[in-house]
Amino acid sequence: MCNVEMILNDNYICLTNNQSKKNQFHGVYATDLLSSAIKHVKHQEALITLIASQTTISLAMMLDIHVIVIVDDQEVDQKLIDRANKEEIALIKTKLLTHEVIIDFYQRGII
Amino acid sequence: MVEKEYQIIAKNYELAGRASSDIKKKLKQENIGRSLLKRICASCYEAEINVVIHSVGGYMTFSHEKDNYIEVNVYDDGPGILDIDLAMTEGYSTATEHDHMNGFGAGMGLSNMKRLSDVMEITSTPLGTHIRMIFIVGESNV
Repeated sequence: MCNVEMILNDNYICLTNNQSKKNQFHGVYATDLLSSAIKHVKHQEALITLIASQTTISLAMMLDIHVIVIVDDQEVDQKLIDRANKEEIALIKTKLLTHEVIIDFYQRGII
Repeated sequence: MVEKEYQIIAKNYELAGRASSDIKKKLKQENIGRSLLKRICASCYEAEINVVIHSVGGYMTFSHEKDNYIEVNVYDDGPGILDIDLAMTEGYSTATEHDHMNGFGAGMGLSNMKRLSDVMEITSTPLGTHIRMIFIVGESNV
């Protein structure tokens, strides 16, 4: 099991509060099709996606996803961050692309 | 018997998920098992998103017949599904670019709902669509 603090370095910024840095996950699922996440995401997996929308938070709430990594330096508005904080979901932002995050996580032993 | 009704507003992604979220809270209070909870919530969320994307608005009802089954009905106003078999095909979608930007419209919604529910029935006319989903509450779902 990993937590958000283990991800964070110069490439990853946690947008949500300090409490969310304790959120844990086991494995990741990457997709930009949220219905695909509904179909495939497993319990305790983190979601890696390009979609920085309210729908991403709603989906995370439905599937009990506690960690979301927003890739490709997508703009994340404050309303999204506020809602993630309220729902105790960690939002991480990175300039890396999806495949680069997965390679990075693998090389660092996170997945 | 618990019964609730929720309005769903067309094209409003910010409010999409309100009904599913409330249903989840209610079911959590009733100690529904995690697997069944996920199936119900994910199906309800897909149904809400479908109404947001494809209709001019609608509503969802939820009823829980204790220890037996949970029933979700989703009603929307137009334009209806022209070919239900085609709409059930994974990957078929009439969604717009805006829907894709919000992560939906991949043509997986109905097939996800069918897979996640124990019973799903669709009736549709040009005036609107009604989807009924049943989730059996049994020992395997605890």
